[in-house]
Amino acid sequence: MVEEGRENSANKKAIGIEEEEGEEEERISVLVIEDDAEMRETLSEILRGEGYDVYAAGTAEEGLRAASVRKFPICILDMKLPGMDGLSALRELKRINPRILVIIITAYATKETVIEALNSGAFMYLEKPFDVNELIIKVNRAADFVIIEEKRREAEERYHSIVESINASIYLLDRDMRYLFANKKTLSILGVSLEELVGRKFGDFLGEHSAREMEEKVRKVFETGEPLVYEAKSEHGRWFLRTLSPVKKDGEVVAVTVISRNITNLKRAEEELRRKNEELEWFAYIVSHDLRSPLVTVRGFVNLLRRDVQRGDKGKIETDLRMIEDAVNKMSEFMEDLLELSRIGRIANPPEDVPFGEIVREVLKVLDGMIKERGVKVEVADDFPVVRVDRMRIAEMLQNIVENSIKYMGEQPQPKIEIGYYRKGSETVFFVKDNGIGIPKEEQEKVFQAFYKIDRAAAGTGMGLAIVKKIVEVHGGRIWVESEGEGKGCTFFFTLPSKSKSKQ
Amino acid sequence: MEEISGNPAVILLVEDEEAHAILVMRALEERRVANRIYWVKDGEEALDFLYRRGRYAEAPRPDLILLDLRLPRKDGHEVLMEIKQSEELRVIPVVVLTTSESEADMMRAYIQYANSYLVKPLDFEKFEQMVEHVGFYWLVWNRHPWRNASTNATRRATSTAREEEEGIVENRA
Repeated sequence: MVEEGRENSANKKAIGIEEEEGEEEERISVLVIEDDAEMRETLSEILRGEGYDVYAAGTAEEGLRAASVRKFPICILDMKLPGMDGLSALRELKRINPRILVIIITAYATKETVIEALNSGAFMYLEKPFDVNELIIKVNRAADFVIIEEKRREAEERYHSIVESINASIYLLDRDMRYLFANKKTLSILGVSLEELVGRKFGDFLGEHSAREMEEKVRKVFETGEPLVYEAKSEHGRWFLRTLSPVKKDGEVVAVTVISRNITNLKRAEEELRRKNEELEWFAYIVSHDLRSPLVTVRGFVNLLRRDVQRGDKGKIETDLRMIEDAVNKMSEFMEDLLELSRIGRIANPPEDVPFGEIVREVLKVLDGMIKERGVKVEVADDFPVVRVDRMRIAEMLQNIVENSIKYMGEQPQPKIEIGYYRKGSETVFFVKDNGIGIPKEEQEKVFQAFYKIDRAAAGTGMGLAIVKKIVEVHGGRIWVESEGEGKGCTFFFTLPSKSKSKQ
Repeated sequence: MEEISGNPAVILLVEDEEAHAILVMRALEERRVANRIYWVKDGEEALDFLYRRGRYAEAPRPDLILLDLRLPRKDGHEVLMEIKQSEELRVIPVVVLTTSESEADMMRAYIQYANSYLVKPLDFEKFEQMVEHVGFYWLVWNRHPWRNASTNATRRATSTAREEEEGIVENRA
């Protein structure tokens, strides 16, 4: 004997709380458990009239069955039933759905039974015979409660999902710098459970410096009640952006919410950008200077040439022409190097697996003449690993480095170059070491800049090492130079992607 | 050190680029400004000249130094610093003559007491004019302790520039 209220949108009712216009509200279902058929009918009718979706059951057993297949937020339960008694039915209902609001109906209400029922989780009680209005008010009150509770839970779930899905550590601290709450991200970083964390001081988890800095900031938020944003660098060199916001209760700050985001990559990118900008500035400076200088020459000597032709001064005409020619040649060399530099990275051959030793042999063969001429002794490791590279470019790069070493041997009576490698962690670091004139400390970073020459008188445009660096970087590697200083030789180090599938 | 009136003014030109050195010398020659120019190609050599070291033992004291900044061995800034730190040399006017338009280079030069900072103009007429003005200003109008010769005297010297042309360039090129 099951009756179910039909969906009837015309019969919907706003229950207890104001609803936005046009918003459709699910009807609240009410389970009525009442053995008296007439009473059951009356209750159902009244409640349907009020817009509820009613399911009426004649026995406790039937009611419980219904409750276990469908979630009823509200139940009206007659305490006097055949078979299972009301109190047991109440407990059973609460067991099935702890959140169910049960309004009990009792004909002979003694204080004890009412108290016992309320103790067992009943929401309210109605005394038989009851007034229709009383019934409606009490059911509506329960419905209000249901709706408020549901909204509250929805809001909580929403916040919870935000707090847990955001890629940041979020936690709350009290005045004593103790954790009140932390999201999962925080817990996984700290490697503790929420239960283990709550009540402990953040100083237990942070480095001393970070803890002191943070404590100071948190205190400030407690004092001023104003939010605060700052960037912090951890002991491990990582960067965090922390937003501290006060949590207020009656105008007083009771806790501080900390949102901490790892911005290390961002910082790295910023740093990289700064470096690139500096490089660009240097580039513009050099280009303007290195192009300006031959231009001054060309314009000057063209002017002088005209005069010297008029005067018929043959000797000077010769000089004028030679100067113009030299300057123009210098400009074309400069332009070619500039083009070459921009070409790397744009035009690349597909990477292939090459034993690095092969590249070394190739390069030494090309430079054989130069090496013999200067009497350089070359030592090469014999067990080089296989690298995955643009073979031609890497050969070009290595050739540039070795050439550079030969060129800057200085007066060294026993010039020597060593080409080798070592492993550091997952990286293979290659090196070219010489015993030439070396590089002063302050110049070591600059040598890779385009057009930079330590010795301005040296041949070339100062582009070789800039090209070298670009080639290594295009491969995802790093390059640097170390030297004890002038006259002490220098070593160029670089990393390259290895044969394995891992791509840089 | 000669202090006779009419003694030719001495310019020390510190310039690593041959073409630019010739341009400066030609400009002075074309405009008949000075008569003795010594050209050195790097910073070390400039200091050897000024301190009369080695083969420059007999070098005259210059009345004006034209100094390029980007030089091999010792750059112009270092040379400038050494000159202006030396009791003996600091009175010599140093005119920086460079292609660098960089603010930083200019500031650094003035901080180290450069007497003037000039950027080589691209246009040769202007280049010539500038060199002429520099010559006249520093060698004719300007007075300094060991060249208190009257302007007349220097003018006379200038006017004889043509005749002494053979001696005009004492460089090692």
